[in-house]
Amino acid sequence: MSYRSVRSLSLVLALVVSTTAFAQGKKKPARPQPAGQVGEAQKALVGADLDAATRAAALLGKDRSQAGLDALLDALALGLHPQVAVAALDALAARKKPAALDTLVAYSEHRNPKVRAGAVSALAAIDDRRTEKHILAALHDGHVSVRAAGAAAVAARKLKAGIDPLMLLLVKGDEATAPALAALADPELAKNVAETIGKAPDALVARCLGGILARPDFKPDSARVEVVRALGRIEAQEALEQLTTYVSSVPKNPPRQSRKEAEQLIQLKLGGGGK
Amino acid sequence: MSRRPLALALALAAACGGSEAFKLTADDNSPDRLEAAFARMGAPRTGPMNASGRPMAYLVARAPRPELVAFDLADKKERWRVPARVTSKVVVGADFIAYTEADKDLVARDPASGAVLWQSGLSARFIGAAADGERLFYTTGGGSRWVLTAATGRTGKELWTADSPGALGAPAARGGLVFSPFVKQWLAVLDARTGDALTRVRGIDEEITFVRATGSNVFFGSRAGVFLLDRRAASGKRAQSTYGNATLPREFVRIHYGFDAFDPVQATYSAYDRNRILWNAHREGRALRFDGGRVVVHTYRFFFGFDAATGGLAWAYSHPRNDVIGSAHLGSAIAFCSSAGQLGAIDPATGARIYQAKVQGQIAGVTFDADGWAPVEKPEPPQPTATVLAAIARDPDARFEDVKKFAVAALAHQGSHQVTGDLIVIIQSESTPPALYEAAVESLVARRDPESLPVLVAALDMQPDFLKGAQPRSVGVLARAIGSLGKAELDPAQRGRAVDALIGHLRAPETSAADLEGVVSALGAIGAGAEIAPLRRFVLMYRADPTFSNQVGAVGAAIDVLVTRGGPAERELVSYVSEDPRSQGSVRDYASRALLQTTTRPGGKKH
Repeated sequence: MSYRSVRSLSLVLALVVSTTAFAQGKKKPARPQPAGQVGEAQKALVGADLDAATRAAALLGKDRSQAGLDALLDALALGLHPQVAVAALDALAARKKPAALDTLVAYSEHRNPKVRAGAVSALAAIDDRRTEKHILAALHDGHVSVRAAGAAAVAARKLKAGIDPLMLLLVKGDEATAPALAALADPELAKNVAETIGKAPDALVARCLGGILARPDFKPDSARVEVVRALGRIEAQEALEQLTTYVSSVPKNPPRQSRKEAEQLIQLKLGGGGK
Repeated sequence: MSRRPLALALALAAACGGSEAFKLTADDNSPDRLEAAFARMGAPRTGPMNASGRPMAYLVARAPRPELVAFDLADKKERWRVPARVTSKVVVGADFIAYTEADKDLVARDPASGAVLWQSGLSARFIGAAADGERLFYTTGGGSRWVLTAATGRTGKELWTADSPGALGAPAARGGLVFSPFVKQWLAVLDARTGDALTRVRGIDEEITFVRATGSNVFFGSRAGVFLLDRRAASGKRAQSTYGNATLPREFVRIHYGFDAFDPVQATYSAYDRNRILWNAHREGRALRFDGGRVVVHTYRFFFGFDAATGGLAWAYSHPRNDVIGSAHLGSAIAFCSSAGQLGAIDPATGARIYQAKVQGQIAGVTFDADGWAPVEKPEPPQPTATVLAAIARDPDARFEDVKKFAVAALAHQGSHQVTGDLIVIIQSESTPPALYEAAVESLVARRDPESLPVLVAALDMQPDFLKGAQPRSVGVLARAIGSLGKAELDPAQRGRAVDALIGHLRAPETSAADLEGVVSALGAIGAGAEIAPLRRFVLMYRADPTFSNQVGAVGAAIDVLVTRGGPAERELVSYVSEDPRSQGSVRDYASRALLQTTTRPGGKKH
């Protein structure tokens, strides 16, 4: 990302560099101050009281005015304590405005992982394809919480480009990959997940396969049968739990082959023998 | 020199007497007597001592069985191999060789066949021996009785003895004279045939701990330097003698110009043979000059050729795998043997290997009798010094940390651009010990080689990636090395690549706080304006971050760059940071100080 392309940051910097009085701390406002609750929140957001600033950010997230959005972007552009920055990013996630894109991209590289994760989640909330490469980049992050935010974003946005990295993360044992892959899975992907048995942690693969079975839109039943059989190959207790959850979540009638095989596998596993 | 042991020894000498050569009342430092002694000396010898004139190596094997091996260097053939439990160095005469066995017997053998000529029990501790032509000279003793004995090499018949109440060192012999260090204060000169005391040199400026006879010269001295035994040596003083010493790095070189004649351990093949200075010297006017202006340091598997005057490294040689257990300066070659029986020779001028041969067995010691031998094999071209130094620095053998540190430091002064890559490999290797790492870092930063910028940038180009398992290493060090090029003229494209790579690490959250400071400083040094925007963003983004509350570190470095290299807009930004209450206190203070320490002239120029 080019810093110069950060709209709001450039805007505030322009203020900082061009307005000597502002730089000297004199309260010369850069924009007309909004009145009422938003105005108060804007003041609190840039104040020294961290808790008040955090509450103000949350308030501005619920506000729908341009002034409120600008207040959040300007505050982030001038730099915030990480606690306040996280709240401001959550607020931007609630606003879902493409105007926040550049600021969010900048914060997706923040040194604090909570801040980065917040930025990634906020990016995911914006309906703009320009966010996708930054969401995918989060899957390469060194911190598990940021990768988890990226995985959740990939799932929420149904980003097919995220499947390969998620599969790699599954093998590495990243917890967040299970629900994300489960959300993305079609029969082919489910088969690929099943092929990681023995390579990825058993419990994680079991949770992923269980998550796939839990999706009502995952069809046909022959695909579910394959998932059930894959769970049967996993010796971890987690596989039994996922099979049990599946059986209990599906009515007996109309009869499903996948449910029937799941029941048989449960019996087998409870009997001490696993496939 | 320690005066107390010397005083004790002198007192003993005065109290107990001794032979004429080792009394206190002798006429020391007489140029005329020394001149008269030289007049008795035979003509210089130009080849080996042995009567056959063949260049020989006598090797002591420990395994598979204790043996003594005679090896003809020119023919690359073993002449003989006999069972022997050798416990001292082998000395070589014209028609015999001699050594001790089991520390209690003196044994002489026929150099042609290896057959025992004679064997004689030692009555006191063996200190050292020398041979000259047909005679053997050896020193024994301890406490208050020391004896220098002369014997016929072929028969063992005792010719004469000279007693001393004070310590005698291992002798040297040449051309009918015997030279015996005496209580580290004197060098006594005796007639080899009769044992008569001819003269003595008393060291005034420094002690005398070694004496060495070559075919044409006799040298003596100590750790401090080398005296040529000539008429001027009678002064006993450095300034008035033909004296010299070499400039050598002290980090790893055990500086001693000869084996300590008073240390019985050094009369055996020991670690001292693996860690020593090799040199030959001659008189030039009134000065002592090392041959070729060169001294060679042998330390285990490595040889380093140094310019004796400046201490500059001329070449380096690394012997693969096995320790070199013995070496000798033969004039036109440095001969050596490894513990695995690999014989070799190096050109002292270039470090090129000019000879190789092999003997069987695990070798513990070697004596070369090959003065003046010049191998005629086609020399292997010497490896570039930088290549050898890099290999030494990366050598997995953990024993040689000092040598490796020296190699790394020396790399910094090598011209090859490959050196930068070699240093980076050392720095980025997880197996590099901390001290060596530090030395490599210092060398890398000290190079300041603009031509190395592409190598540095290539190393810095890797960005962290959890999925790919990519974790950049030594980012701060590479940044420092790039920053050190700030004042150099750099290729604009390479400079741009370097700035881009640095900005990448500035933005990467995985960059450690310690590395980050180096990245910021390097950007300030070579950014040429491109660094201003990212550093403004950096300062604003982290000014309120408590991570930087105790140690402003990179934020402080960025502020420094902005106030020194930026314009009025950057000063205003820093001024804002210094005043806004949300900025961390330490960052505010730092920004205020940075502004105070730089003032702005009209037109935006800082001073």
